[in-house]
Amino acid sequence: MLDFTLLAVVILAGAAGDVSVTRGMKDVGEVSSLRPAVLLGIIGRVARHGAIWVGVVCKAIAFASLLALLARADLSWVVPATAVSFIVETVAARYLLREHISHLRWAGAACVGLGVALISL
Amino acid sequence: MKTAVVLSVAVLANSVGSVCLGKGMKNFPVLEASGAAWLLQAAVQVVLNSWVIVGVFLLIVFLACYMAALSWADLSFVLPATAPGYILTAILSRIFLHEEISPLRWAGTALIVAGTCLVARTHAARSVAAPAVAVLAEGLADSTADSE
Repeated sequence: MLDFTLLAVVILAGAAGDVSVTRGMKDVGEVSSLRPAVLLGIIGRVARHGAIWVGVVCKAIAFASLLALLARADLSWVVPATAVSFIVETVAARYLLREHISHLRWAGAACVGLGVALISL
Repeated sequence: MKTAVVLSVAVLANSVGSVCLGKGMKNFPVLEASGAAWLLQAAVQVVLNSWVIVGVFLLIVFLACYMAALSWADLSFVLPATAPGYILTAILSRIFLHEEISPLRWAGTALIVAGTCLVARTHAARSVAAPAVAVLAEGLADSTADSE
């Protein structure tokens, strides 16, 4: 049970981190040049952006949970089980972002779900 | 050719990196105690573990290759091309971590690879720009998180 709780934290904190960092980076603006002066300016803006810090903390929580999970469970279960993120992402895109999800994508998410159920038996 | 090399390095780095993290954490004393002092001590031990350090380094290599590939290739190509990494991780877990992998687990892993390929096909119609930005942002977050 603790394994599934840790897996849920890995998936949810990871997803929250992605969304938060993506939102922050869209605010900061496109990385248009690799010149040091431009990069330094971008790094400065990134470091002062609240959403990015929230995202980084979420990602750190996800990584720490992944390490704790690896201390308890088989790697051959942990790695494929994190594919549950495809299902979470699909459901979130449909119900939170109101995107249209094709039958093929639902089939893919269902396939991943079935696979995760099989490896967990 | 360039894409094949970069994606091969990405898949290898990801699978070997995961195995290193697994190895480091399996050597870790069982998580039974609790309390802030213990947690701090445990965190220091994890951060100083050489397997974990190598694992984190390899995951950074993976992320760099993955992001580089996404800068010229479609996510709908990159995602299924790296999906066989699940199988490679299972093979490496069996060899180096001595994990028992039942036929059911092999079947489940194969289904997940198939599902990943199906999900990726639906990305084909979309712009590559948005996922690339997401992965770039994720990369920045990961490298910052890893260095902490």
